[in-house]
Order: sequence, then structure tokens, then C-alpha cells
Amino acid sequence: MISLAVARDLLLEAAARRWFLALGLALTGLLLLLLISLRLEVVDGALAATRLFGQPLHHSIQAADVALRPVFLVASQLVFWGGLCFGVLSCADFGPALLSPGRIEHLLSLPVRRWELLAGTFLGVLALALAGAVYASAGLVLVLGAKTGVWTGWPVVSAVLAALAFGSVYAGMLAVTVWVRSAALSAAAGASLVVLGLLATHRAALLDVMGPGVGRTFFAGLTSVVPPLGKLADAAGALASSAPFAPGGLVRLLAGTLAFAAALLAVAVWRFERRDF
Amino acid sequence: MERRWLWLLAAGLLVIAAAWLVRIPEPHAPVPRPEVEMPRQLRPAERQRMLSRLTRPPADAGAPRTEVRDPMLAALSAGGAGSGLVLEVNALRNSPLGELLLNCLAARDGRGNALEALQRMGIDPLRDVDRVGITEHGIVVSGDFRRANWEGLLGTATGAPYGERGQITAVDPRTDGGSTLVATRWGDSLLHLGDSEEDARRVLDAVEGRGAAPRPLLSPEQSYGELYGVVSGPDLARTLGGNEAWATALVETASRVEVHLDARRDVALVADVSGEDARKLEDLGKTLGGALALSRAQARAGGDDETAELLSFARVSPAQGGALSLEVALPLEVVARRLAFCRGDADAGRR
Amino acid sequence: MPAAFAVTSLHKRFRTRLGRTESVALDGVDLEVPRGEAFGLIGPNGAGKTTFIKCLLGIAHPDRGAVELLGGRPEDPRSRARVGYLPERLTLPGAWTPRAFLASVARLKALRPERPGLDALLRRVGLADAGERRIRGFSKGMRQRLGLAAALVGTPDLLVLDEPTDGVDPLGRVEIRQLLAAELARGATLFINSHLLSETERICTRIGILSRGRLVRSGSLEVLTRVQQRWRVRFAPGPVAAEALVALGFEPAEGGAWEIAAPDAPALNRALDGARTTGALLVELDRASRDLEDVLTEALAAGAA
Repeated sequence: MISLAVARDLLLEAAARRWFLALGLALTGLLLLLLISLRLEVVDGALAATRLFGQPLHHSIQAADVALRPVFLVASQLVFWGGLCFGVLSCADFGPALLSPGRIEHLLSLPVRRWELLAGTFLGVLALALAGAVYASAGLVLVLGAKTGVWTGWPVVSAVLAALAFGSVYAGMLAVTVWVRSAALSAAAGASLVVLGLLATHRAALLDVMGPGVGRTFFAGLTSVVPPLGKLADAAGALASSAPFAPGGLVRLLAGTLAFAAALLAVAVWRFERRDF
Repeated sequence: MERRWLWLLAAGLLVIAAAWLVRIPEPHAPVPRPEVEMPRQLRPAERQRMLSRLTRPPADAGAPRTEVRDPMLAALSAGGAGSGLVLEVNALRNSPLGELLLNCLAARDGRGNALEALQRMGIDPLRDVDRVGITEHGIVVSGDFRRANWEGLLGTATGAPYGERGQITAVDPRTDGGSTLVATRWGDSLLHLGDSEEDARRVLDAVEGRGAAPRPLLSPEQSYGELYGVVSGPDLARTLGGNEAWATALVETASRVEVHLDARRDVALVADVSGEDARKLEDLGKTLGGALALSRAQARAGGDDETAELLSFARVSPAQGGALSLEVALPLEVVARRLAFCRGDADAGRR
Repeated sequence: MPAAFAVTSLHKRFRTRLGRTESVALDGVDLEVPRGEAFGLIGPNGAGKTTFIKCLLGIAHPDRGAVELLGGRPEDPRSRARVGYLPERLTLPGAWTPRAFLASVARLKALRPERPGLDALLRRVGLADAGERRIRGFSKGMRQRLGLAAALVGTPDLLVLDEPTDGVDPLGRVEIRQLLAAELARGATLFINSHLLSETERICTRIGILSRGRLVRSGSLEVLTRVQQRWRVRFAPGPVAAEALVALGFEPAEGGAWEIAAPDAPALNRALDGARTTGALLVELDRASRDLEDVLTEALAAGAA
């Protein structure tokens, strides 16, 4: 499929970019550091003692999987929010690069449908986000699993959720780029969507304190469609830390997020189909 | 319609779908993790309760000490006792745990007789009694005994007054002069059942503030939980049962174990274990932690998810300042099953 | 067989964001290029040449008019699959190697990127030794060659080349001309937009001149450059009575040749007879021609008038 070829090219290009090289090196370094410097003493399945760089870390002795829950929770939130921020900054340039003079003319002269170019770019960035998030989470699971004997795949599932959340943000960034080819504007759009996503999470409480008027109506309308990123983050944290969660609610939230992303992409394609280059 | 407008139509439909999907309320909220509150300090109701119990010793020129104190705690500390447990019977009135704990605490050294003695007085331990304290020198019972049938307990024995409000009565004297039960009353609110008149006098001295202040077992600030007190390592191991490694380690290492138990919902136990040897304490912490983790794994493997979930709250805080802290929570039913053997022991103790 | 492409009454205006017309890029262009032809489009800056190419390939959408590309519409990927395009400014991914770039183009054309084929392309454009170098280290000429190689992926039926020899050294230009000649011989159609009129003259057989969005001249190179009623003669080396020739109406031209205007054959022959009487020996006779620059200048001037 042509979109996959476009996505593949984007991944090849990302591999050569400093942002992602730096991220890959940083994650790998961090995991190696943990592997080497973290010493965990497990007695009958309980995490009895922890040493980091030889220094003891004082904590309660409890079942290893229970002790690791907060670790996975914090890691999932770092992957989620850190991934969102990093993605907004580092991926802002992919759309403008696609539409750059000299590149877009060449691409459009090829037997590629316009929507395939956009879809491929989106898929490539999504694959990038997935790879980064899953690498970080899976690495942490492997390191801690090897040291404690606690093996769980839920942090990796949580990372996938984080990547899909970023997908909804990037769809907005790509849509803005189709109108105005600017990496800065694309990043600003991404940041705005993140903020809106946070506001949408606390929509009910915010509406309660807002007085009636145009502003409230506008806010209500806008936040009714934007995915509540805070809820997604909470769900990711619950998954990673094996906390109870409602699967049906999560599925609906995820479906709504993907529908939002698809809507933005559809608007982008509508504009892209008719745009002259 | 030009084909590209279909994309805009699709976008509109997807936006509506997105808005609908994320706003659907969750019909079935996830079952939250059980909340377990470990007894760590006086709750407001307990503080009220504690303050209401503090009394001054009766005005007596001979009493050198006049500070306020809890008569029950003073009685338990009499004679420098090293262990003692208080059961808040009033708080456990409607809990199946109340009766079982009572039986367990009494199921040693023939103290089952004491419960029987109360019953002969027409005192129902679970109805008329506020607190029951178990100590080395006997049982201390507090409550309202104005309507108690003392003849039912004391029979034809007559008591000797002691101190301001005390009365010591030897019951069932044996032919060799010893007595199996010495009942000591302090007004109509405190009753001590022991087997020694000397102990009885020490109790009344402590309650009325005479003589040198005994080393307190517990301060009023430590009277939180439905059961609280100080026990020795062997006592605790025997109560919790088993010959596992953790029990052996506990016996060898602990010099003092302060326990607090909250049984309002599930049973939450906090035990602060003090010991002389810091390294042994550290090892004990690891052993206890491992035992708890193993129990949790076994519960989960056995399909007892409720127990396993509660055991997630179990933790051992490492030894600091010569003491480590054990926190464990268990479902009420599990504890009740575990302590069911006490019924039989209590009966055996009475015989 | 349908033409390589045909455009009818092509109009394109560029508007500001507020909808006002900023400029008229194409103002009713009609052009048909049959298969197997080498067509050169020339004109001044801003004439609309690049816009024409973009409308041809579906990169821009004309306001009015019809475009047929290899028997289909430009929007149809199947039509574009048989087109090779070299943009005027091709942006290449600096971190990639030429082989990787060509492989990417092949995949986007739904072709399997096989190494022997890619290497053969690189050899054809003179980049055989640079297959594993990063593109960011390439000179302008090397980038241009790589762009040409990308246009050749899949042996297209139509090659649309915008400034194909821009930045290429003279020897390289010769190689590219030879390459394009080989493509022509294969049966491909060439459509070239170039400011280098000499290159266009060498490659193309038909020329179109675009000025202010209109096709002001179109025809074979030979016809366009031919000068009517004017002849070019060359006499044998030796003393030539220049004054006598001038008196007969001959004008000196470049390279030792002479030109004469003669409305018909008898007038021409009378002039030649007169030249021979002066002792000049005729060795060469041909119709006088102009170069493309002259043609362009004249066409633009006529268009402006």
C-alpha cells in the first residue's frame, strides 16, 4: 500500500534526525543505567531492599508487584505527558517538510493519491510515537522483570494508549499544516490541543464556574469534541499499575479519540485535495 | 457532489461520533480497590472517647500523684506489667470478631474462668462492658456495673475495702489457703479478676494514684483501634498461629510489640516491633515481608481474590530507631475463620 | 494512439486569500504533443511555464480547460504512473543515499526496488561511484543527475523535465543530452522547460513559446528558426571582391559566410551569377536561419505589440 511506503520513508527520515537519535540514545542510556545501578533484593516475592548506585533507598517491604505499581504508574505518566510534549515539538516539522516546494511537486507527480500522502505521513508519525513509547515501557518492564521476577505487559499496553492519544493531537497538527506550512504553527496547534484536552477532562467542573454566555457556549462546544486527555492519561496509569478500570469506558474513550483524529484528518484531506502547489 | 466534499461530510459525522463517544457516562464504575485505613493514631471519635475516660485520682491527702489518667491503662500497667491488651468491646459489639477476640484473649492460663465469672455476675461481656483488658496479672473489665449481681460472683465471700473506692474479695478459697479468683472492684466502673491479692492491691494503688508510678504500658494517646496493647513476641506468634519461619524470627527478635487493630470493616492490624539487635530486626522485616507476599500469592493462586487484594496493603516498614512496623489487612471472614479455634480453647481453659 | 498530452483552453489565475486575482498564469493555452516527440517550452520568467507543467501533472488545478495526460486525466494515478518528472527545484533527503532515494521513488510507483535496476540508473546518469554517499554531500550537478535518475525510474512514457541541465557541467550536459536522445529513441516523449536555449535547440524538435500565459509561437524548430527569402552562401577561400559582392546585395555574415535576400529563385540565381563574375566560387548554399534567441525575442516583441 502506498501509504505504508510513505510512512516507511518518514521513519527512515526520522531515524536520521537528531531529535529521535537523541531520544533513542537517552532512553537506552537510562535503561542501561537502571540495569547496572539498580539492585533489588526480593525475598519470597517481596521487595525487601533497593539500592541505587550502592545507596539504599528506604521503602516499605511489600509484595514486589505491589511495590512496582507506583513505579509503573509514574513511568506511564512520564511516557504519556512527556511523550505528548516531545512529540509536539519533534514531529511538528514532518508535515511542513512534506509540503515543502520541490518535494511536494515531485510527490504529487508520482502515482500517489493525495490522501495517501497525508495518511502515510500520519501513520509514519504514529508508528514513531508507538515505537518510542513501547521501547521505553517494554525496556522498563524487562529491566524490572529481570530484577524482581515480576512480569507484566500492561505498561506496554499503557504506552500504546499514550501513542494513540498523541495520534489525536498530531492529526490536528497535520490539519493546520495543510492550511499554513509552518512548523511553529503546527507545534502551536499541537500544544493548544494538549491544553484543550486537559480542559476537556475537567469540562463539567469548569462549566459549573463559568457564567452563561457566548464564552461558555463556545467552551462547551469545543470541549465536547476534544478528547479528554486527562482521562486517557488516568486510564493509561490504571492499566500500567494494574488498578481497576472500566474496560467499556476505556474502549469508548479510545474510539472517541480515534474518531476525533479521523475527523481532523478528513478535514485535512478535503483541503489538501484542492490545494495548488 | 464533487468527491472531495465527501471528506468534509465524513469529518462532520466523525466529529459527532467523537463527541457522543467520549461523553457517554460510564454505567458500571470500576470496582475500586478496597480502602484500608491502618490504625496509626487516634481518630476524632476515639480522641473523644479517650478524653472522656481520663479521671483524676480521688482527693486523698495520701496520694502523691494527681495527674489525670485512664484507670484501665493504669490498672494494666500495675506492678510494671510488660504486656497487656485492651479490647474495646463497646466498639466491637456488633462484630462477630468481638466475641472471638474475647475468647482468644481469654483462652490462655485458665482465664476462661474469668469470663464465666462475669457471666455469673449477670454481666454480659458484649453488652454491659466497655473495655476488657488482659494482662499478666489478670483481666480488667471496665463498664457500668451498678446493676451487677455481685452475689452471683462473690457468693457468700465478703470483701475488704482498700483505698478510696476499692474492694478486694477472695472467691472460692481452697483448703490450702490459696484462692483461684480474687475479684477487685473499683467503684462500679472497674473490675479486676486475678488470682493474687497482692496484684489486686497493686492495681488499686495504680488506679488511685498511690505509690510510685509504674512504667506505663500505653499512654492514653496510644489507645486507638478496637484492640490495642503491648505483647511479647511469643504471645503474638501464638495468637497469629503457625510455626513458620517468620513466627520463629519474631520470637527471637522482638522484645516489645505494640499492636493496634481496626475491625470496623475488614481487619487492619499495625504492629510496631521493637528489638535490641538492629540487624536481626532488619532480617525480621524481610522475613515478614516475604511471608506476607507469599500469603498473597497463595491467596491469589487459591482464587481468594478478596484476601489477595487486601494483602496488597500489607507492608513492613524497615527498622528505624530500633523498631519496624508491620501493617496487614485481612477480610473479616478470614480472620474470623482463623480465630474460630479460640472457641474450643476457651472452653478448654474453663475446664 | 492518443497524444502524450493535450491541453485545451487552459486557464489559471492565482488569487490572494481574500479571493482577489493576484496574477494570470495561463490565459487560454492550447497545446498537443504527440507521442515520441521532444517538445521544448521556452519563455521569459513568469510566463507560466512551471504553472503549465503543474496543471499538466495535476499538481495545480486549472480554473478552466481540459487536460489529457497519456490518454487519461492527470488526477488518475494510472496516468501519472507512466510519467517521469524532474522539478525545477527538487528537494532531496540529505541523510539518504541515492540508492535509497531511488528505491523510495520505485516503491511510490508501486515498483519493486531491485538493486541491479537502481545501479543501472545511477550509471546512466553518471553517479555509479556515489551510490553509498549521503546526498547532503552532493554538488548541484550531482543532485540534478539524481533527480533525472528518479524521473527515469520505471521507464516512463513521458518525461517532463524542468531545467534538466541546470547546474550541470558542459561535459555532463553532453551526457544528459545523449541520455535523452536514447530515451527518445526508445519511444519516450520529452517535454522540456529550459532557459538554456542552446540546450533546447539541441534536444527538441518542436518548440513552444509562452508569454504572459499565452502560447505565442509553436512549431518545429526548423520552421521557427528558418528565415524566409534569405539565403546563406559561402565562397571558396581566396581573394573575394567584397565590395562587388556588397554591391550585388550580399551582406557579410558570421564565419566568413555571406547572406542575401532574394524573393524568388530567379533573383537568387541572378545574384549568384553576378557573384561568380567577380571571381567568387560558390561552395555552399543554404537557407538563412536564426537561433532560438532571435525567435524568442521576436515572438515576445510581437506578443507585446
